[in-house]
Amino acid sequence: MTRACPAFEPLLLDRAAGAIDAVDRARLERHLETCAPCRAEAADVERALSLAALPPLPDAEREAVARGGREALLRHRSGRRRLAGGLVLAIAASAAFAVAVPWYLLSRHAAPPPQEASTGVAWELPDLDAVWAATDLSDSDAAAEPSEVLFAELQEVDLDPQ
Amino acid sequence: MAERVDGAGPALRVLEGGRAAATDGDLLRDFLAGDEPAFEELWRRHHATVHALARRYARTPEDARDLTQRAFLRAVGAARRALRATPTEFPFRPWLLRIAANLGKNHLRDEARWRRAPVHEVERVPDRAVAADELLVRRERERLVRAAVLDLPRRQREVLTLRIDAGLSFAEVARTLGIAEGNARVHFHHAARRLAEVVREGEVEP
Repeated sequence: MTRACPAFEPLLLDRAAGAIDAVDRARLERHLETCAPCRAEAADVERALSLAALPPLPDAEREAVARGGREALLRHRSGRRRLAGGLVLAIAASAAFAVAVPWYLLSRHAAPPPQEASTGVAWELPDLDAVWAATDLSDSDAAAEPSEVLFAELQEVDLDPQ
Repeated sequence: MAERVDGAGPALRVLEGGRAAATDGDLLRDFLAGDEPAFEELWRRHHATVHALARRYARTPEDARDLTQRAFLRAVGAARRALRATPTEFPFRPWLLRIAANLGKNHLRDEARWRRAPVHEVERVPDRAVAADELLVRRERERLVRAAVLDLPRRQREVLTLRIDAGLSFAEVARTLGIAEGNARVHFHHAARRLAEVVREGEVEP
């Protein structure tokens, strides 16, 4: 629980964030001279942010990160190629499926009907439009691309309790 | 500032004063038209900020680099889809940073089972000159507070890390997250208060 004065707490938090203008800073510092609870709170917040801050990045690592742009480009290229290849395979597989299913069903239909079918129940071909619509043309690599789920996630309202 | 040149290949942008004068939107469109050096300029501009965010969630330096690259690839892919649907200006940097934060959090969740030391602990070389007890106390407090950062509510965590890791102004934090600047400050205040509580709680524990 904060011990700071309500009127000055936002200012000491802004100062800890390094985002306070000169006028507010002067006002806060005048107040801190005479208010021990606010001084204690300011010290706690600044210490907490100092502990939370990550240490500086070593130079060698900084350079390794900077070189990653070329690698990202290669990943982009190979991802596009895999995506295209996967799409071709998926379309081919879907086409084969679309041909094979009616062929199989028609051949079954052409065969002598089983005894129970002779009661007059018609054998219906599947709705090929429905079969096609239910065929997933995406492949596993598509999951590596930004998905509609990601769009939705980025646009969703903040549900976090505050 | 920019001029289209029609040729046999994809239409690319020729920029006066070089690529440094191009907007992110120009570079993005050029890259999506096949101009790979445009990506390199986007990378040069933004990789350090993205990596600074990714480090918060990474368990190893390799993870942080991988997250950085993946954030770029996802942002480019998102831009490709968005521009295909509506050819308008795409807010590349805000999307990139938000994607980085989302990827980071997801990565942390997926990696939790490995229980490896966070990257900032791996990177740090022990300083034997510092009194061992003092160092241990400091490390333990760092561990507690950094764990608390990752446990903050999503918006508070995003605001805090965009400010203290990526070094964005509150105005840019607000633009990145699509919220008001005053709102960004309030989220930061909540987050900082919570971290101060964690430090105090850690000090009273036996």
